[in-house]
Amino acid sequence: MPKVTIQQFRAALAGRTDRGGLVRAYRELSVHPGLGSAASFAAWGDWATPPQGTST
Amino acid sequence: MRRYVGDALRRRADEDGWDALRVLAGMAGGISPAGPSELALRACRAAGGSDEAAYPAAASLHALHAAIHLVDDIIDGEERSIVDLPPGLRANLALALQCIAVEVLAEAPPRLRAPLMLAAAAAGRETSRGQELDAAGAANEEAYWRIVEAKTPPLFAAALRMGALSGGADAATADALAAAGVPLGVLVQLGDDLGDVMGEALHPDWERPGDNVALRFALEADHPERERFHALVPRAADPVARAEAREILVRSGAFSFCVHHMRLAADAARRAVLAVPLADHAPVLELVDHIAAPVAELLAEVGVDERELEAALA
Repeated sequence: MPKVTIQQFRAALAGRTDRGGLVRAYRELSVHPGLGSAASFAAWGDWATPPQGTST
Repeated sequence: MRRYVGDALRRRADEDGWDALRVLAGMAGGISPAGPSELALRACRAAGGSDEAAYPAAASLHALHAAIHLVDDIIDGEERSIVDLPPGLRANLALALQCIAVEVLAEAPPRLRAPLMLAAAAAGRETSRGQELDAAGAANEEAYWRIVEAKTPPLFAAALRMGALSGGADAATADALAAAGVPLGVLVQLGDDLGDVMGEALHPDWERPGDNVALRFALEADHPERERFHALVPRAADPVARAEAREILVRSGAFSFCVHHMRLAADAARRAVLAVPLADHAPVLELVDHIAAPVAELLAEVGVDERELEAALA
């Protein structure tokens, strides 16, 4: 499936095209700077951590 | 599962009197609930197998994942890694772990040993190729996606394949389930990209912005703060400059772009899993949902129900 490119996405976000609820959602995300830093993405790629308590 | 995996490494560490390997064995208790070992366990359950049937595959994937992690840190130039050794010795340990990833599969039932060993070996080889492509850097956006699909998905695909085989699935079913590893790996890699730049710590990605899709977006997209972002990236070692750059990542839409592609990847993974005839899809789908949970939470924070987005996409 062709991916939405950086330029296409930015154009949609800037309002040059509109796809309803989807774009509105992403616009909302772009005006809440606190959300990005609060999201816990760093844990996704973790390999393993020192054991806490008992292992299964 | 974690005890079995830890013991598999510890036995070899004890045989060889190898402290660094013993450290990794000790870390098995903290295996990520979203990592390939857990994924293999869930694929095994989905295929109708017992948890115990997945243990050799889980141990293999844990060793392989550790090896990949060690080498990735060396390539990224990270001074700290999961074991406190100089880079050359970390590479040496990674070599041993790749061998262990094959050795532990001798504990699988005889008919499964060859297919499991081949799957583990292929995952290691394909990931190494992806790492080399990644190290060469992405010349453009299209190349970035090619590298992402080459680097992370092979391990996730192998986890699904090895888990399904361990649970009694035939080769065709295991292959079909492995296909879900491609979008799942992309989902994880995009999460890594975001985590690497949205966290407060300085990550090597700031020095190679073309290889991180969020940074690439803010550098390339047509947005009002692009010039400012170009000026900030070379100063990323300064926490103040980095904090300002992070805010631009959000305002420019770079953050939203990653969230969008993570949503698509999660959806593709779910569809791929559901297309496979399995005894129970839930164990694997639950893990996909767990990995994608931050995306759903972010959308909920801005008052959006993901189900509405599905309607908009349809």
